[in-house]
Amino acid sequence: MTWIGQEKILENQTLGERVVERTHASGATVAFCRKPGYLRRYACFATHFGSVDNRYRIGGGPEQELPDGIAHFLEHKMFEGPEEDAFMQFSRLGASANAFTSFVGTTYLFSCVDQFFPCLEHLVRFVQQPHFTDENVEKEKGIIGQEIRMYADNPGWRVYFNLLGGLYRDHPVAKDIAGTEQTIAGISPEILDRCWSAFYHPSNMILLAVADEDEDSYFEHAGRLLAETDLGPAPEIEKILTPESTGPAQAEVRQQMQVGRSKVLFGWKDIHSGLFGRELMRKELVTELMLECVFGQSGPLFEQLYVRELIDDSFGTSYQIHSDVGHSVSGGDSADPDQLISTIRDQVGQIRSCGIDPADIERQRRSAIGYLLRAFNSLEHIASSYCGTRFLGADPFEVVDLLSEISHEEVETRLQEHLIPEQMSCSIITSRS
Amino acid sequence: MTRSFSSEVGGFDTRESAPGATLHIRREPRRKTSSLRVSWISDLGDGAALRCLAPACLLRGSASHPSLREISRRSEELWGLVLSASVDRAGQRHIISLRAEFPEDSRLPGDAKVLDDAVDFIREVIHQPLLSDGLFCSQTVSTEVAQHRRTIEGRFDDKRSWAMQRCVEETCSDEPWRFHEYGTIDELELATPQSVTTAWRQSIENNPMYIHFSGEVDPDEVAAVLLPLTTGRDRDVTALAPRHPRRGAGQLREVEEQFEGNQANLVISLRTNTGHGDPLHEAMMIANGVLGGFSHSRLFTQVREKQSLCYSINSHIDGSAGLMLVSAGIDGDTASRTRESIFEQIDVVKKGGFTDEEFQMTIDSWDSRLRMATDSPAAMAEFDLVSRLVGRDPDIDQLRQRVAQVTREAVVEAAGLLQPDLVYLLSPRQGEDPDEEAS
Repeated sequence: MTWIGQEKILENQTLGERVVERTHASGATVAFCRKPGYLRRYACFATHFGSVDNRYRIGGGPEQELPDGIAHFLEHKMFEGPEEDAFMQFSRLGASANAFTSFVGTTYLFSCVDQFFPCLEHLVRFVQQPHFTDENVEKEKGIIGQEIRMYADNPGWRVYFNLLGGLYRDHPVAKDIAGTEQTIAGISPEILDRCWSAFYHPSNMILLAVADEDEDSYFEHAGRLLAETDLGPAPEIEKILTPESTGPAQAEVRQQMQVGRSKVLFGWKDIHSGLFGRELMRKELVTELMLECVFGQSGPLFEQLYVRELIDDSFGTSYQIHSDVGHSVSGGDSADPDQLISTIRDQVGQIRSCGIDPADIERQRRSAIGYLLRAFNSLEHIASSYCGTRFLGADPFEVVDLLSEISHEEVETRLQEHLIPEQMSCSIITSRS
Repeated sequence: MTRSFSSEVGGFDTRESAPGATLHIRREPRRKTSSLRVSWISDLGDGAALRCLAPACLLRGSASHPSLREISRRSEELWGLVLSASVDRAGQRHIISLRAEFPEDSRLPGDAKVLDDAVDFIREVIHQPLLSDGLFCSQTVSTEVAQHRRTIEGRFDDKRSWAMQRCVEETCSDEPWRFHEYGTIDELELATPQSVTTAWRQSIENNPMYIHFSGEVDPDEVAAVLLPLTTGRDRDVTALAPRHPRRGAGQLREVEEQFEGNQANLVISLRTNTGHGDPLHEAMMIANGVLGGFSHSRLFTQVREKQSLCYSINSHIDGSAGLMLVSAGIDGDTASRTRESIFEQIDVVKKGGFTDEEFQMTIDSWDSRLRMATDSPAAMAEFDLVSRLVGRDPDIDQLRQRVAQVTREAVVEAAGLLQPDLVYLLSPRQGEDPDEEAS
């Protein structure tokens, strides 16, 4: 038996998209979204194992702790093969391949024009055949060490992680995805093997294609490929969450670097438990609508801050949600970060007293439909949106229904409970000179 | 593998709509949004900073939407229309563009339509900006001058891009490719409501203008909708400078600059002695691909993977300037070893020491890259526009065909033309701790 249970259809008429989803006997979620007429074909194999997953136990066994940066290290090492690295075969097939590690997952992907099924075969096989040796693990520490140092020179990256460090006391979301040179120093082939066995079991993974291919052929190939490697029964993984207390760890984090422009980000965090799937998505969407009404270009703040030269067009706002925590991040480059922060604290207080105009929400709702239509042109967006929402236990297309359901009161409530001036944290990078 | 070069997806249908202004329309039924790019062309160099200020001022307000906030509100009402300004360069040309994307009428709920209103809004932004006594408001100009000054200063924050630009400036110190598209801070001193308004009028009335549109509509129908974008064109179209000749290399030079940081950036410039329109240009594209354009390329597999000398490394060519740039992010103390290793790999390509497989993978990867570009209206508009500016045939299928016909021998011949010109190193200043602890 290749497939378990009934196939599921996720679709939305407004977006004009449809994803067919099946569960493979190995436990893997296999999904397909057809994009008629697109020459480019895209597929990804993603595990629900990201940088925040630093503690777990299997089958009620003892707690296991992982070094920071292990998911990202594993991502680098999966490309290593006994004869050559996985990129070479993709190149032979005229495809380009890549991978990335986020807070919640690790995704291996390729895009091609021809030879989609040979590429799919290679993707599934290389992710299911690790090759860790003492020598190649040591070599990787050097390369990742350089990557870490390169990010340390990137003021945009530093200002973001400094903000997360200001928002969170204990939660691993504040740790750099690549870890540090110290935390990766102790990584060994054994630790990588242990992680791979636990988190790269198909039951923890999604195989998705967004391509103009035949749906039946895709499921036939995927079913056969996933049956090639028997990785045994699914491990009972229990990810151990790190409790986080309310309020920011630090009101302000400052760093000096040699920069052309000072950078500033500010944000607020949420701690939530008991939310799952649709409710998490709803919270994310309500918060994004609220943030756009307050900090967006059509809002009450943007133009006055812009004219006072406290912000420029790099200023933006977003909300990042996880199963147990979430945070908003706003900011960009600024000529006077201190003045900007002080103005924001003051103005946010005033906006909370006045509330949000219902007409603003209606406009944002309409604008969001346009955003979604734009975003769903992109194969990558479809893939990341699908995997991200599935990892949260939600349906990627529910966003359209949710958009029409959200009320003015909900957005207003969110404004009052999230943007509390005294709970704001900020991160500032200024030049030494 | 037999390869077909016929258009799988249609190209642009081109028509002249006013003096020096052309419409390029492409029927695109696969996407949910229409894409519009309006570009004005001039020569890089003098006046670049002032030209950058013009579209920034346009987005600050129009006759019926007289503030940035009102412009944003109107964009949201038009189903989240995205309207932005961009500044680019292609060879020795300066490109100022307004880019817009908005939903296809057919994708909107109910009977909603947006195309006509969207184009009319963009027309108003371009042709009826918020003026005071016929000039951009002095407050608007002074804010945009300050914003653009910081944009220029902020270029340093992207070290890799900074190092590459510095390498080009040092390599081509008296050639037009040395100019950055943002212009200079000195030029900003000359910005007044009068000079920025003049730059805007010069762009929309006299400078060569290109309009690229992709959408699910009949080209003739949409041409009529787009026509008002070209109103007010003057018969006196600005003539662009003749193409500057490409140069060969002199004696290999070295430049090192320092900054406070952790990682160094090494950039090596080489003269290709070939370019767009030359018989060996496509062979040089493949030589560059074998060397450093892809993940199977020698710089990646040998210098990064085998020798672990860097985290990032690649090479690219500029067919207008006749330059190849090899760029690597490295530890400062491995600069000389990395440089040596890069030159070894260049030598391998020059001597034909690459495998048949590397050669074929490069041909195939280029073909995939070009075909993938046809899925993206933005990439197609860019390819078409740049082709017209640098003297390349804008038919992407023709380029695919020329790439497929490149032989190993031609690659060796093209690589033989490469002459190293300059080694640029942006390195961390010694004896300082760049990571001042965050507090």
